[in-house]
Amino acid sequence: MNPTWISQFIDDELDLDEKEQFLRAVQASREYAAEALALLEQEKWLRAEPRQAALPELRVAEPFRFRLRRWMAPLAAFAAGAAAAAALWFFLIPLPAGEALRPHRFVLYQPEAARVEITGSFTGWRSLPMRRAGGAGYWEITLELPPGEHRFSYIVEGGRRLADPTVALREQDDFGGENSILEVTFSS
Amino acid sequence: MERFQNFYRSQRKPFFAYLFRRTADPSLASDILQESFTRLYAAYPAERWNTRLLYTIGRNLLIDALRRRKREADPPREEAQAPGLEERLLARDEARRALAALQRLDEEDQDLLSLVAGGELSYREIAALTGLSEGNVRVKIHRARCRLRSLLDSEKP
Repeated sequence: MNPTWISQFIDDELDLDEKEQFLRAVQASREYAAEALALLEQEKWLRAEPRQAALPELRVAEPFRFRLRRWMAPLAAFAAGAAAAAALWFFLIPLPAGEALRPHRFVLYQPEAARVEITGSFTGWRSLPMRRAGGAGYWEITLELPPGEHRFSYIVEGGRRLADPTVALREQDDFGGENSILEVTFSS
Repeated sequence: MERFQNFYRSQRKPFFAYLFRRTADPSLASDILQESFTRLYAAYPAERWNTRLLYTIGRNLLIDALRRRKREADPPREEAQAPGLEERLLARDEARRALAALQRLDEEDQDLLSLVAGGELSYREIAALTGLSEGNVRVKIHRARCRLRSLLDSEKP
């Protein structure tokens, strides 16, 4: 009789053979059956869902939309021409390998901070200020990064260092903090 | 955006329940939920949106928030202190007692029981999230449940 069968039963993790063995164990031992029932009841209370009213509404910012105004038309025409020339130059004169850059957007939620910066191997560990993205507490910056492995962290109000909470790879820095490790590839 | 809305609707209830179990603080759980979905939307293409990635992001945010709360000894937020809040969120005494007892387990026990209680993640997925082996997850979850039971039994009037 395996004690973990009870939890596997609660979590739907038993295969058919184990289900049979579990049922036989429950039939054979009153004590085992009582424990299974007690843990099942406890799990029901633990899984009681918070009421609907507590669920927050979705507030993900829509991408910024740029509206062209009439007086901007000549500027837009000039910009389009410049972009076309740049694209032509890009295709005619390929960049040497290793020098292509990719934009990467860094976003951090720090609603109570007055200032947030980013520092990393791609800035030579200089700190760059991030800007507020709307009024919901998000800070952002988009940087052009070469492919490869980069280390970085955020600095909140000039002091507190924060690793990026959404980047799983991290390493300890020399000052007792953590840096996030970002892998930039051509396809990322 | 519609695809994201659908993903949000399908995940928000169990994900909020996980964060709420882990923090016992609806306001903090709500902030982390919001940030997790925002990061998922901003940093990953739609093909990669899935439950495991959402929980990976949320769990990292949780670890940072709980570590910060511990280091700075943040006082509980006003909402969390307000009398009657838990009563509004959890209808039954037993559920409130289970949540309170969960907060007294060690970090790993809390994490594993909160993850599995959502019913969204298999032992294999929890193993991938936590870095434990699947066999280890199975044993640790059961032991954590037994410890929770001992705590609740010891508090029975």
